[in-house]
Amino acid sequence: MFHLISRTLICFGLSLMFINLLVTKKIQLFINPRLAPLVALSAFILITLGLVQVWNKRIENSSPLRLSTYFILLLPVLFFVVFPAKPLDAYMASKKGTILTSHSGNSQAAKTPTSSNSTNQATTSNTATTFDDIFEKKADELKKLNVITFNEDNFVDRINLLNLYPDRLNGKKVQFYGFVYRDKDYPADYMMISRFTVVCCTADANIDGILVQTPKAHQFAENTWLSVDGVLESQKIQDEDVLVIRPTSLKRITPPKSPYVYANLSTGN
Amino acid sequence: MAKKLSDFAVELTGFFILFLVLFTVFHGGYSGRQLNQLLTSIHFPTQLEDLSTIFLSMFIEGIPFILLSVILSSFIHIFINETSLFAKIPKTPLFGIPLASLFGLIFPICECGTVPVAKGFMDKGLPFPMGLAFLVAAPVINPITIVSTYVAFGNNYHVVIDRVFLAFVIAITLGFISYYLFPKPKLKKQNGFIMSDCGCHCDHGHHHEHQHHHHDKASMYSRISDALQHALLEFIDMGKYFIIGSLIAAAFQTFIGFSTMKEFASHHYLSILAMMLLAFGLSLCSSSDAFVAASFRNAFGFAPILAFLVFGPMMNLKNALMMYGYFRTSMVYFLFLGSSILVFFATLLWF
Repeated sequence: MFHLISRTLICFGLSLMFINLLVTKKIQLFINPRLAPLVALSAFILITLGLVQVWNKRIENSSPLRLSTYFILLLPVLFFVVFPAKPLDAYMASKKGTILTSHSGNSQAAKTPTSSNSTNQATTSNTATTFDDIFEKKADELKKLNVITFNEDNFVDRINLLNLYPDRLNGKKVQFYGFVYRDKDYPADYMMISRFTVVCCTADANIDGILVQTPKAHQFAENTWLSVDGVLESQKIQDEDVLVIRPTSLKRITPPKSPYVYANLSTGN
Repeated sequence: MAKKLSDFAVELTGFFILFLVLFTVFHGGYSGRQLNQLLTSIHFPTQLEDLSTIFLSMFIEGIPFILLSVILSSFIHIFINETSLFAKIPKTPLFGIPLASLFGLIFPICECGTVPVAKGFMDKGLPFPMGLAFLVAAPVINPITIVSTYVAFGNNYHVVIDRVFLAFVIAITLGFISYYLFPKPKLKKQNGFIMSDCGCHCDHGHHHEHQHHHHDKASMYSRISDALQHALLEFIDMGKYFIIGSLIAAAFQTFIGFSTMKEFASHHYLSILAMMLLAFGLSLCSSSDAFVAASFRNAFGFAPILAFLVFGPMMNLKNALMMYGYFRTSMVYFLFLGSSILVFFATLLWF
């Protein structure tokens, strides 16, 4: 009897958690909403399994599973109830670590790998040039804009272009928003306005953003959400050419409901 | 009479719980809201909250795959008899092992799901070295991982080729070594849940065995409910290892993280070891780890990144614990040592 009740509890408890996350839309704090249907499917499967527990008359009640096992299965529910769901913050950003310059630029891929195999090297440089062309075209399109703005859909693409072509986009007007994060290596009047990009779940989140240089930088605590208007300026930081925003205006904003940028495979983000 | 009563009680409890579930979902729950207010008023250290977020995100992301794979393996278990599933597949090691490492192309499961499926295959007569090659190779050699690696590295296919090729070679090597090292392997643990032939109900092994021989006579309904019951028990048992693994991995991410590994970036072979340790600790899903690896590109050379991409899916905290639940401890050690030594020395060639 005890085993049966525990198993039923696990099934319904977990599915309740999933349904709650889906209904309240908090699921987007944990995984890419594209995967939400899979979570709904899990809830459905778990309810089915729970019902089988309850209705199947032939199930023997005893089982070699131990009490501790049932407890472990309910741990996620416990975490879910005890810790309020909240997005990752600047502390996690410091653990993930930021690397100045390009994160996923294409020509970078050709720069880093060193291959012992000559055919491999040949293919590398081939692909690199073709994709360089595409990205250069995109950079030129970006250059034609009056103000470079960012939204969820173009975030990854545009950040990449900024990282790839600091010289071309130097002097462009820009509008950007994100939360404040400070790496211990940044000079005093710099801060990074950043976003987490998520592919599948927050465990694989990467931190991405643009540096802002202003004497007022220290006035903003980490995790404060800011909206920045300003001009991009190419600077040399830690021996890398980096685009930095010289702000004309800095505004505190309320954190968005969907704090992450979701990178989707289909768009190549 | 007593049995009927207890059946009735069970059914009632079930309905009660179901009702509670529906009620809480649709009404939000008064007490739930009050509890929520109470909890939000407490301030936990941010690290703990981050740990919870990452733990839950790993759990939520992995659960669908684990559920689907235990259901798949349970249905294989109940509906397909030993001889038919792998009857037409060559089992000589020379063909079989390379072939098994390519199974992932047909069963596109990421690394959370391979352990139960591999175990299900081996129960159904897939020879141990082949099952092991599948276990090691499938998380990398499957369409989802291949596409995501391609995209993550800016549509650059040489990273994909190197990753798949290295995983393939290592899977085959481990398969052959295990073929000579464990000629007659005893797969399952001697004690515990997985022991009996049907993978559940240890103490009812005989009884269950008996049922299996009468499968033909059993109704479709009872076979399906058997399979689902089996799936649930397997899910709970597997879930235990998965949850502990994710919890440790989440702690690794929040307290150690990539920033610690960055210190080793400039060392020659230490950087490979650091990235392997990182892959082991982070326990990322093999379908998304390429994106994380791509973000390390400027800090690390290609060899350590390749080590990260190949070692992580084969061996990480999360699935090592799951393997420990299914296989004998010596096999887990063998897999751990074998894969780490091979990945380390193989990636040295890429320097």
